[in-house]
Amino acid sequence: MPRHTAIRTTLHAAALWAVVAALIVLASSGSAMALPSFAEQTGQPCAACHVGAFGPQLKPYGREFKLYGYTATDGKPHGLPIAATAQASFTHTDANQPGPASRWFASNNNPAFDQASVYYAGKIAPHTGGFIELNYDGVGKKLLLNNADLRYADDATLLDTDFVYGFGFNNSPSVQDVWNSSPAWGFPYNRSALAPTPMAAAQIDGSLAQQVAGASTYVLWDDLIYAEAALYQGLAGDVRNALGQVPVTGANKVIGVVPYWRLALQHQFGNHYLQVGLYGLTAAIGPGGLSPGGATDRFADTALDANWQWIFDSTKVTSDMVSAHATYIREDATLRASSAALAANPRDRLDTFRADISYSRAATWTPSVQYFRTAGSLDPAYWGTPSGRPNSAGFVAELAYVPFGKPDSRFNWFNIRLAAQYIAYTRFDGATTRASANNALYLSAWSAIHF
Amino acid sequence: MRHLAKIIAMTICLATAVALAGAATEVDQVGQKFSKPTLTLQSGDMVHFLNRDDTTHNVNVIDANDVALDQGLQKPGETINVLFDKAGRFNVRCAIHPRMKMTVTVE
Repeated sequence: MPRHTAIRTTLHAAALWAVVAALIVLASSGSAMALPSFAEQTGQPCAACHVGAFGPQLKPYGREFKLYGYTATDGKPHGLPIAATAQASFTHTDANQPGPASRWFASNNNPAFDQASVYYAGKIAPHTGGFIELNYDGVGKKLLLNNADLRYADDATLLDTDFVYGFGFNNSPSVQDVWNSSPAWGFPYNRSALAPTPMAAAQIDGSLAQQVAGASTYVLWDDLIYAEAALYQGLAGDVRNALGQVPVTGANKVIGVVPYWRLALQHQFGNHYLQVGLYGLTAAIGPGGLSPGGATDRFADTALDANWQWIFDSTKVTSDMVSAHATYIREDATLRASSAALAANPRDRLDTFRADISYSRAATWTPSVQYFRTAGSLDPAYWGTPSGRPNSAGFVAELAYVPFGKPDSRFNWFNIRLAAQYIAYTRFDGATTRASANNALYLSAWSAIHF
Repeated sequence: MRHLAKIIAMTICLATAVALAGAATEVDQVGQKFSKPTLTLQSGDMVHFLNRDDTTHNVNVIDANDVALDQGLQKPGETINVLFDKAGRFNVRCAIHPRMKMTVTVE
């Protein structure tokens, strides 16, 4: 890298981190006596908001808290809303990987310090709150700005009907969503960074996370109909670089504006909660950061999703409950850039389906299972797989144990989630033979502390 | 005979006191909802809010001018008594659970 470019990038990095720091300081200067982390702010245990007493799977109150801009409070004075999480793990795959699982790691049987995050998370001002996550990636050994969601929210009455409305900023389409069927917060809630993962994913399925920034507005009408619209802008390479997305050379680049939309219907039937919804986006991508002759690959993602929660006793936050989520994402791609550069098909399609169900016992033991399937058009030049297809399918089984986070827990400032997860593939990147070589056992410890 | 006269007199006093004190209404906070979404009272009536959930609630009474009378935090099993002695329309909300609300009309 030429020296002047390096200096400019360093200056951009310093400026961006200064902006991040300023946002945190600005957020904390509003009413410093009333800015705790979420649990401290509300005086509620983790189990009040989260299935299994640990995030990110939300219960009705967790969704409500988020919709209202993370501002609900018990009115007591609290310290700064700073929290931290850390994850450590052990990963075993059924077969050794051809090379190291990642730089600094072996080809199999890897213990790892996965990541550590520091959050500013809570109320900032009346009706305004959010979270910003600074993350240390212990596998990639880099510091980055991870998810951020800041919003203003309030409620009002119109035509004798209550509604909640809000405006927000975030850096990952669907990170603002309150349902765990959409990609940003979907099951599995953590997974190994040292096990092989299928190469194909729709743009809305995490591919744009931290690559964009945008503003959204939403309304929940009569506790029944949810509608949201957002516009994102792709972040420039040096901005992404400065925020820790390294390396960006050769990475896909978002070109222009990315519109995102969301519709959902929800209703509580006694102890049963049901939601059905639609969401989607369109994005223009320069593959490998290039757009030959101004051509781009355009992606149109449309998704269906559904949620079901059955809380056996709604008066108890530790009640046993069943929780299920499903989503289907259809992606239609018009590959002008890839077609010109790689002789890929002019059009491709990718279908993704996932469905999971869990049973949370006393908000302590939570077994879960998921079926997943991704299937796409035959296009050897684009997917680069031996079969020419990106197809993958399989199951995830997980057992999570969370000893704290309940009303009678000894600690209200600490929680931990211990989990054993197994991913079994019946098809991996288009191949059925040796798909099981990618099967992975992932043992993880995920702790959370409020300061 | 004197005992009977005393009992009759005490009964009359008690009945008069109850009539002057106004009625009392029970509202449960259960499943993070108020058991009665709307309530119509006479001025001077009392509402007993009983937290039947296993988490903390709050009772915040807001009048038509957006003036709030925060009754504070309410632990599981606790009752907060609120006297509605002015006519008007009041929103009752829990600051911890924003969707938990009811309307009280005092005539």
